[in-house]
Amino acid sequence: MADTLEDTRLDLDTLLDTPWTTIVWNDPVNLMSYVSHVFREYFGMTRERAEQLMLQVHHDGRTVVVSGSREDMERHVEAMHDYGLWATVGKADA
Amino acid sequence: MSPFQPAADGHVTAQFGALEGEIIADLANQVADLLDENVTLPDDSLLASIGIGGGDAAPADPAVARLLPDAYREDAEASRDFRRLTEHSLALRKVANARAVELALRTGGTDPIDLDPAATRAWLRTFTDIRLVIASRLGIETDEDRGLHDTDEQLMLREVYDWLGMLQETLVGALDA
Repeated sequence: MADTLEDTRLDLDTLLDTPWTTIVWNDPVNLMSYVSHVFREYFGMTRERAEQLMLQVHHDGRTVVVSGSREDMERHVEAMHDYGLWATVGKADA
Repeated sequence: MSPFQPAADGHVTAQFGALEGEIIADLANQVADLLDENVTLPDDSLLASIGIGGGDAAPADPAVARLLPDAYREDAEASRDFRRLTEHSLALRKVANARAVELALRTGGTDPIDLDPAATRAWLRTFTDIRLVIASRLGIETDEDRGLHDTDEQLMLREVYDWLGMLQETLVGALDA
């Protein structure tokens, strides 16, 4: 029983947690067409959305591409590193 | 004509001249070796068998560190935890991609090479990884950087870097066609 209560509290902590983010950073190496391709292929974005985010990365130096649980963001960041993009996990309020 | 042509069912046909294919195969081999030599292998064979393992800090070689970057910008502890879980498998995937490209070029020679969707994913990633390593070696850090250009080797590397970028552009184009 104690285990069950403990599990429930952990779940609530997760739900109340500040959302985490996946941030993609600009770098001089990755081509704009490739970054857009990655956003479409991996995140399933429309061409328009992928282009918009890619341009934000290019002009602003970085952009948040998605937010959610820390576990999911770490999975996305690892996938971005797999593609060769420079990505980090961030906090939504930071 | 572009060396990458769209084919049926999401496939792409690649074809290179002997020298071009040799250059790409050689660079892919170098990237695979670089990762092999610079990534900490897990000492626990059970964890290693399921691909878990990694170093405590970013690799000392800046080119390798760019291939396997920190996952947190201002949290060294979280970056270390992430690296310990993921670095080894990420490096292994990058090595496997590069070896696949090298093998396809060495066995295919100057004949047309059929790339299925999994193969094109490996090729795109390997072009990226090769360019990341060259950029690191040449000190290309911003969009405006020309990079080191004092020696013939540096000038040639820059040409190869730009050429690979053009190739990647055509491969993305063939996929999105």
